[in-house]
Amino acid sequence: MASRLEQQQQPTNVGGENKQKNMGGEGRNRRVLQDIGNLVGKQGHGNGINVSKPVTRNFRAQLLANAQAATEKNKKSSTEVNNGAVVATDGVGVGNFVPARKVGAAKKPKEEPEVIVISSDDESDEKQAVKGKKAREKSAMKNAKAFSSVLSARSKAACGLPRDFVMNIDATDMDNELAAAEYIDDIYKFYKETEEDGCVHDYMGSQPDINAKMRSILVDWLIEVHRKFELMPETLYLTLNIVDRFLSVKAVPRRELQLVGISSMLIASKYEEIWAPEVNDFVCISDNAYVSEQVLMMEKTILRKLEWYLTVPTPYHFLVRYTKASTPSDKEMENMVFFLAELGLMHYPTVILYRPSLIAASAVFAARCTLGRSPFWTNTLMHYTGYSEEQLRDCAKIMANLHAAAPGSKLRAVYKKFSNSDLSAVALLSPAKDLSALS
Amino acid sequence: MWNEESDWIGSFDALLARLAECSMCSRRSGERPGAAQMDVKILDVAAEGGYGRVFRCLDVHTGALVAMKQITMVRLSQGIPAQIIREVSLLRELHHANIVKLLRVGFTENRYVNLVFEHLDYDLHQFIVNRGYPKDATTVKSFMFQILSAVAYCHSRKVLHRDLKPSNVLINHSKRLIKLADFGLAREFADDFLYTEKLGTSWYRAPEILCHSRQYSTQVDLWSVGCIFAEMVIGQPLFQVINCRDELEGIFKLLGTPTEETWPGITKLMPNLHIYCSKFDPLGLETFVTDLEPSGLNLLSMMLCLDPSKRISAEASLKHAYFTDVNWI
Repeated sequence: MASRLEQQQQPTNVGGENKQKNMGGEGRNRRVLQDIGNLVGKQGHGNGINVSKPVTRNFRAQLLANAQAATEKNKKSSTEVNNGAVVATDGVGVGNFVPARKVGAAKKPKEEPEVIVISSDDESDEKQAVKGKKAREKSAMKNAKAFSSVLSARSKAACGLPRDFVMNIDATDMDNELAAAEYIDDIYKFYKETEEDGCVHDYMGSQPDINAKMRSILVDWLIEVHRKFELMPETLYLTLNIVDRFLSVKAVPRRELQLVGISSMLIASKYEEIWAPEVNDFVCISDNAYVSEQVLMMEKTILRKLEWYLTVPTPYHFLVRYTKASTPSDKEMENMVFFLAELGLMHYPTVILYRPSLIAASAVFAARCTLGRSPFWTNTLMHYTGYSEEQLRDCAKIMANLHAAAPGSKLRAVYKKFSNSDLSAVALLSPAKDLSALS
Repeated sequence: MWNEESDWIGSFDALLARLAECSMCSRRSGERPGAAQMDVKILDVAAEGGYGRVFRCLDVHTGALVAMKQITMVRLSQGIPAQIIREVSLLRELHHANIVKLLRVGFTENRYVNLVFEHLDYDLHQFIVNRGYPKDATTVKSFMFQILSAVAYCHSRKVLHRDLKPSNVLINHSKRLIKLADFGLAREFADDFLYTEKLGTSWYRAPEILCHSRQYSTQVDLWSVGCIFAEMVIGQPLFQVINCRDELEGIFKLLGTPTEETWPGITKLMPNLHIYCSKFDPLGLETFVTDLEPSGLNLLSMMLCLDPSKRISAEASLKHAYFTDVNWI
């Protein structure tokens, strides 16, 4: 794979067609950029910003500062917002939605989501104006956004790599009332802000009777129980979150560790499921190691200790979103992502070292590497996850190593689960040999 | 139930035996303190329902009035009911001026769960019935704006209320402040999720739920808000006014029996629709909701839209022309 620098210099290939986007050049119509400032100068000239430069934090700040300065200059041109893209009132769009050409086998054409093009320099003003007019004619109610959305759209445009596109993964959901598309950005912004609440510090030092290996055994068993009860995936992730948070605030004797596990799953099931398994089911599945009264007592203890905080972002919340951003997604990809994420959750150091969103993003990155999806990390993924390839490499490497070790491990619940053909038998695929070599 | 033998079902000691003995660590850290203690003195019973009772109480430490919802744990063998787990955990996360504050959770005699809330004077149902419904348009507008603000906030936090009705809308009389309450049926939502269809109070229940759909989203709350809106204007539940055998027929009488054109997917959702009820032409909202300005009627019609995909969102409702002159009373 080419280095990131080289990759950025390649024109983006959409639907098999090479198009240059946002290339600096004289005599080109620059009106499309007037609202976020003329970010891209001529390449190689001192007065502009060289877009081939990797987007480091400093460079991003520089881009943003320039954008804000230019915005001040261009205050005259008022803007409207359509589907999250800033559109100048004369109908010239910054980031108008351009449908990608559909690609795929002749038999099964896969519909690709719409694409946000940061600048469409090669389109005539007339075409742009028509497009802007059509966009404005859409229901004002559906598309109305607060001023903060305008600013965030500007900063997104300013921070992104000008020549690469970012797919709007929610474009197809605009008419799907179940997707709550207009709230999705707020929801994930909130998850990112609050995910710290669901994170745990290294608590094994304060556990005199249990250690990381025992935790792995418990998690392995809980994954089997979860599968046996046919519970929803979110229930498993919440269960493990409850277990870890409880263990981080309360010393638990070894003989009660399984009790903590089943009580946590009982709580998570009540929170997530329509029909939760009964207390007796949990007692039976633990071979009557405990009586129901102990389970109920532990349920109360856990809720008290966690102060009833159960509405916490787990890796699952992010996995769903990031898998969607890994377009075009398919069942194999999805299953590989969840396989790697569950391996990560069994591994105590991963859980305490990395926050849920990073675990989820790393699982997607590692899955793409494993399945040979090129490029391994796209602009769309960077946009929706907020993470660069570098930030994910360490965690993804751990996941790839866990995948490699899974067949020989004594704890086989995850491996067994994902060896099943129902889940594309992804566990049986060769792991990404060495993630660092794949860059 | 799960009595079949398997290599993984068993006591934890048996599981541990599968691995070599693990080394121990002896450091111990202090426990994090729990929620602050709150002692309450019961003054009187404020309300009673199927769930239990609500008491008006006094916080003995601060002297402040509080409301204590005492919920009876019916199935003691199953521990804390799911609805309490959801209500408490969701309220711990929802911080908004128009959502009731949960102050404390406690247990009594292993039989009751006590939820202590901030005290409010009365609910919207009492306000409509006992005090003469809010006849002035300014109050209706202010109340609606506050309800929608709370609902939009919930939806932006991925939470469906699912039981919006006047008795779950509380009022602070002096400040004319509205607060949403009773999150017992609330839950986080997902776009590929199946939910229970048996929820909400039937007069405020969205048509997709009445049609037994188990896939629904934020739009169910907007339908309920629309019903509350109409009730504030006419002084009684909208679908109680319409003479019909059940709520769904009432909805179809008012808004017209849906077709595949007006509500795509209805024939799949309710294949026996033509057998269930005759084809009604819409009577129209304006027939029943007479004292509402045109922009208000327009907003109401967008909330009470049969097709959920065309129903207005809470976020968009707040930007509707009806609220251009909204006043905080």
